[in-house]
Amino acid sequence: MAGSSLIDMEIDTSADSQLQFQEFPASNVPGPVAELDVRSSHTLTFNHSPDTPGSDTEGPESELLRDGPQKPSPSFWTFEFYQKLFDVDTQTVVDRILWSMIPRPGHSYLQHHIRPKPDLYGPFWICTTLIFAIAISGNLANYLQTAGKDFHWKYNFRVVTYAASAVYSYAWITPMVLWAYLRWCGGQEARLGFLEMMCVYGYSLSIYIPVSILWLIEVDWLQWLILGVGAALSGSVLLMTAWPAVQKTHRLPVLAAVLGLHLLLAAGFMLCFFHAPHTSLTTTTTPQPAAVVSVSVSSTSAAAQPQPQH
Amino acid sequence: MSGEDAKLDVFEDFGASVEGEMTVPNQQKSQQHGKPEFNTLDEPIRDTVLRDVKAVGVKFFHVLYPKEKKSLLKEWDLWGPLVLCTFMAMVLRGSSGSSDDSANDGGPEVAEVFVIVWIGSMVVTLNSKLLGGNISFFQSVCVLGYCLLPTTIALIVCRIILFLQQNWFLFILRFVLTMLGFGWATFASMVFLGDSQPPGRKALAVYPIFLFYFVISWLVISHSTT
Repeated sequence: MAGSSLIDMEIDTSADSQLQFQEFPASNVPGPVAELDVRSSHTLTFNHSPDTPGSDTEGPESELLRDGPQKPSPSFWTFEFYQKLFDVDTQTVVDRILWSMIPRPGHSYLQHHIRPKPDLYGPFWICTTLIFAIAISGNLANYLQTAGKDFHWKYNFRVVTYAASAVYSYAWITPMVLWAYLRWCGGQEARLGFLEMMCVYGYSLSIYIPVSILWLIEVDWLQWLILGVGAALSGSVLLMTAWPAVQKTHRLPVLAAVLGLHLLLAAGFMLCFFHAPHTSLTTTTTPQPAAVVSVSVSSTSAAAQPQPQH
Repeated sequence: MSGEDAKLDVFEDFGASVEGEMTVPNQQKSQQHGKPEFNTLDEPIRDTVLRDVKAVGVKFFHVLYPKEKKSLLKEWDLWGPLVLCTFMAMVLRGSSGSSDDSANDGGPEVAEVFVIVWIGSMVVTLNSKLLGGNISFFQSVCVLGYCLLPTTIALIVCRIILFLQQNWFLFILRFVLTMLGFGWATFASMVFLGDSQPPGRKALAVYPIFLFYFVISWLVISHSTT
């Protein structure tokens, strides 16, 4: 008896009170459990029943989240703290990536997309994908540059470690520096949290992934153009985020530094991994024909000399 | 009839002693994997080793034909992943020599392959746990490690192909084989791990797995002899 979870209620035939015939499975009641007094009959209304529109896609976790502000936030050392940082759906992540590449002048990326729940899923996996995208495209570009020639190509795994150091330090240290700066020297109007800063920076790197694939095209001015467009697009999103938080007097140098670092990172990648072998190959191939010619000249002159004596 | 009454029986203290005999059924069967039994101390070493080898072999079989999900998850072990990872690291490592360009292959070191496989599995597992998946940590590492088997098979076949004189056709063949191994590995791990994610986040949990096997497949296809 104690294990049964069904409670049958007598339907009172009096006109005033109609009882709803309800089932109460004991394990997954979504809202606060209602206590029933089965001797008197009355209508019961539920505010948190699963049939309300808009809650069909949310599971039990969302109920807990709506109660969120009333619970104390978990401490820094527990697992739950980090779980809150990964509390995003696929659609949210896709939206954030998309809007980090497309600047809209009146529409703050931070306010609309990040603000209530910054996440760390996006920044971390975008950085990791970027590292491997650069490594793989860099190796491919290297291969394509040497494909037609008599050069035995070896792939270079070190690119991964270099790219990893560069990307991860940029994604961690720059927001930290900017946040610290804004905290101590910035204006009071718009406070930017550290997590939000890191979130925006992480998502702003996402444009470099297609850019690094496009860098495989071996045309110099096109590579610079793609670099410029990519840096401009995501840099402007960054700028618009940081704009309201910086005091008017210091605005220009700080924002120039933000944009400059963004550009520098991309330019560094391009020059190190996609550009360099151009010049080194041409210098190594030109001495060789000269050496070959000089050897053949000396051999013909050596061969020619004994002949007149005979 | 206002409802059914619950009955509660309360017993007084019995007072006398209780005696009986207990027989443990199925004492001879060695299927209880982690439970200590007295018999395993006395059995020959060959039995012990063969039992574990058989368990690993069964899991490899389930990876190749991913129909039944329970066995890989319920009794996880890390022998298979260790064997696969060590084998791949030994084959994939660049040829010895300093960073002198002429002698060095440029491939990853043994330690780098180990780091990618183990730290990669741990990061992917951590990610799916943080997203709210309900799978235990070691089960997920076990599944990700065992699903390296298709990529290892692709590596072995590519290595055999590399003994021949290389041309474009053989490169395309190697590429196709590697992609096949990659797709198989991703599909197998999705079969095992797919259900444990909350809906709406499945793509978020699957993408790191995809990236993990993609990186390993890139290592496989890039491997070549000098």
